[in-house]
Amino acid sequence: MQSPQVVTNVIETIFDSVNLRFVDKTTVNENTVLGQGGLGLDSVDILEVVVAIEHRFGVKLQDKNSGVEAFQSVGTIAKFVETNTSATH
Amino acid sequence: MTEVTISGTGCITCLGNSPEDLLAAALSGQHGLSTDPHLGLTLGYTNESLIPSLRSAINDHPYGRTLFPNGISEDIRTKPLVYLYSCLLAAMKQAQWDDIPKDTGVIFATTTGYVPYWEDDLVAFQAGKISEQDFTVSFQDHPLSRPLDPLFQGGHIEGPLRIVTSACAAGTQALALAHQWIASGKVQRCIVAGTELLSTLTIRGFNSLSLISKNPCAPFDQNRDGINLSEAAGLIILERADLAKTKIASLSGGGMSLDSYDMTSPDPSGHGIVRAIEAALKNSSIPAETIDWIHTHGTGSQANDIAEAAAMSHIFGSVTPPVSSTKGLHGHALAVSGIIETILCIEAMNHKTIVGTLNHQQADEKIKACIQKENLAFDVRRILKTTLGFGGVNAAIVLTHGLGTN
Repeated sequence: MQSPQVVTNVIETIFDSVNLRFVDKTTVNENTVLGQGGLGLDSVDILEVVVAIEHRFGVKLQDKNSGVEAFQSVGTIAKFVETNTSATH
Repeated sequence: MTEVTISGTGCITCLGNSPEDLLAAALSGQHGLSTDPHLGLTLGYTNESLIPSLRSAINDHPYGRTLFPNGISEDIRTKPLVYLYSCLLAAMKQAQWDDIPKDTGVIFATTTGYVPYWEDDLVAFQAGKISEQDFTVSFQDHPLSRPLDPLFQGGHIEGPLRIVTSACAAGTQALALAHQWIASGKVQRCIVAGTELLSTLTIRGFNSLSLISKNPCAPFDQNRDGINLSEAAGLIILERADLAKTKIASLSGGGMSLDSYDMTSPDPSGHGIVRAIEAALKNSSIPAETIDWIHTHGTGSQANDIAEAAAMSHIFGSVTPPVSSTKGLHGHALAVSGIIETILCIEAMNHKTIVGTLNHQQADEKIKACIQKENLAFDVRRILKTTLGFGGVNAAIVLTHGLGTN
């Protein structure tokens, strides 16, 4: 279970980075997936999200495999952010 | 699965300036190509003498005045604007749109963009006649997205925008992407558009690869000797089915793949194309054996036609559905080819016709797919449309029949 504040910040960052202003934000939670069946983001959108998350939270993806794992859903991104920010504090 | 409806189309090509004209010319067997006496190459130019009347029609149209409060100027550099917005207004009329819903997404396919309007400055810079700064200003003044400024900078659309520049596959990729956007709920409506103008850089670039024919191209023919570049603009409106007021066809799904084989040549085995087609069929939930017509990229180049025909034989076996290419009619409009050929497919399907392969006489002995030479009266329900691009980019979509109003 990720911190509600981190989840909220992750959702805000996703919406700002890929112009999702017409998607109802209240329906999005940590279980929402980024791709088909969730926010419907395509691969280029997800690259935008990666850059925005790295910039917003000061985290950095280390390799392709961990990136694919981390950028599945709002919750997995929040976990990635929490893990990587707490490690540096 | 969300159904995606095609509700409006518009096009400007060397063969015809509306979907109806495009099909009528195609069925009459007249092509829109001409041989440039200086270059000795056969190319497809749009009829520029129509630009003043097209411009006036936009400037006089109620929504045209909304987009262009001061009207479109007579500067020749407005040619892409005139073409694009002529297509937009025609498609909006067909889709019964008075204006564009603000949440509409836009996917724009082009490779050359405004090259004709900055390439002279590039030559001048390389010859030392103008400064690097002057060339940079000229280049930066013509971004690929510039034709869309009236829509986005004017605040008429606030939905997502994507520019697709994946060479000649861009138009079909844009359609596959639009299907994905609507099916996934990212947008409810999407405009797929593209413009492609012929420029010296493009013509000489392709000619340096010995790809352009002196004659109208002969796809899949044993004596084919190259392609015919052409210019065009095309636009397709796609909507979630329950929101569309009218329907001219459905886009059932799309697929994309990358050969990872060569910078310009397709993988001759056709395996890359096979993966795009299989993805499109799976995404559409449409079995291969129910496809009525395969409208190919079929450029008339040696490499394309071998690879594409091999892919069709791999998927459909020894007896393929009718396979045709219409490049001998309208040439190869690069990024826009997938858009204008999709429009031609829809028109043909709604007129119960398969358009044959102009100039095809005798198939290359290495090609086993069933090439459809003549036009054929047939109640087409499902079409597979394929497109290939430099870099090994492949795209396939499945179009299904359906006319009506909601």
